[in-house]
Amino acid sequence: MSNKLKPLALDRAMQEGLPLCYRQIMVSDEIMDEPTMKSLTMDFPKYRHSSAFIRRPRKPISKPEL
Amino acid sequence: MDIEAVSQDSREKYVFLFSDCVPVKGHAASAIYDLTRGRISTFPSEYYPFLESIREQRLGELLDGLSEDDRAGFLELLEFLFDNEYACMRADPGAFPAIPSGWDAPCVIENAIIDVDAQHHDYAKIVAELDALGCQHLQVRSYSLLFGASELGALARVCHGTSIQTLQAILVHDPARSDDDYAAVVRGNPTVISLTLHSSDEDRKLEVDRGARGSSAALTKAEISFTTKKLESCLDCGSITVGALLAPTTPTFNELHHLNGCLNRKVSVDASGQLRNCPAMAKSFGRHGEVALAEVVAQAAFQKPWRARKDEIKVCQDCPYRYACTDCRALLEDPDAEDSKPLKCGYDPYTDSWTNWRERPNAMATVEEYRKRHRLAVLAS
Repeated sequence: MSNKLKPLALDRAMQEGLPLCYRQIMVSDEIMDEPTMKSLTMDFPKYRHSSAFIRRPRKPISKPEL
Repeated sequence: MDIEAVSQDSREKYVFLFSDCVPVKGHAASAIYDLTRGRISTFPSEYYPFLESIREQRLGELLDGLSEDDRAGFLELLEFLFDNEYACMRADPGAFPAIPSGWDAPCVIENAIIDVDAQHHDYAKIVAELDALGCQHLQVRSYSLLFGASELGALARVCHGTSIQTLQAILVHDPARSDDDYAAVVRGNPTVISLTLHSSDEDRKLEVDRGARGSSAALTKAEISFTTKKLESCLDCGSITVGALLAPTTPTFNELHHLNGCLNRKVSVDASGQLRNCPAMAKSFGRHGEVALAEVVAQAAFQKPWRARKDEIKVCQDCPYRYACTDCRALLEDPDAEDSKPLKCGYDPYTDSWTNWRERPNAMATVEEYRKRHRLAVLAS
């Protein structure tokens, strides 16, 4: 047990191409119980914040009798 | 909601119709367009004057000036407005200005149609010219097997890297082609957002998965529709039904308020290569390849139908759905009157009822008249 914060393990995050904020940043064993771990761990999928632009015309181009 | 209690508690306030809930007056029925939720509610037009009064008077003043009968009707309308979240009570409705009603688009031409029947066009040239005009959406409609899945794939590749963001296709179903052939074209060309195959042997739909995961999958998947109905020519268009009405949004509402819903910023190449506002319109502006598209669309005569507003069209001007309807200026109930209502619209604003437009007196004779004119135009070209 140690009160010191562990150094951030950035290498893995960097290798995965994840922005740094996607990783848990506070890891002191003394204060980390299971619920705290859960509440602090942000396990976001890689592309969670990407937005998909779906292209659609605003209105029908024609109105065929189909 | 206890509307009596609300009306007593809010006598000093105004009934405020939210800025994105716009009343539209019709003859028998009027409507409220909810531009944020994209829905339209209709109500008897007898209630419409109340919507005008609520802007000018506080609720107390308004109620005191009404007869017993009118009071009951007004409270009924209030209940309708509150239940649908179209209105609320406000001491100072002036703090909520109206949404600006202007409309514009960052392009000279927004959408285009290419019709194909017995001859091909110079698709690369058309697309290059549309690109120069900033055209965003292209629809190709084929009436023969001349333009099929391979041609659609080739056209989609030509569109790649141009201003054209979406490509819709309505083609003849070729029995020699498998579902996989069609699915491959759609899957391999994200620009192709819809494919309808008419003259098919059955009515069905085929979903094409584009490989997206989770919630994005539903947004990116495309659908191929097979229909047994046959599209014979550009005259098989202009159908206005309840299902064809637009879910209102601020941009479409503003556009349809000031401009024509179908023809505004549209250009078409008909099956014989003539440039028109719409393939079914009588006036040609020359043959593609002989005249430049940019020169055609810059002409005042070409842009005139863009401004054919529903408010200036007979019968349509009394319709509560006029700002959700994309109209048709090519096939009219009276072919000789420019301001006639669309031939293929079955709504009667004077009785607030939808019927089959074909059952209207003279409707089929008018269709035949258009067919004759179309045949003559084809022969002349």
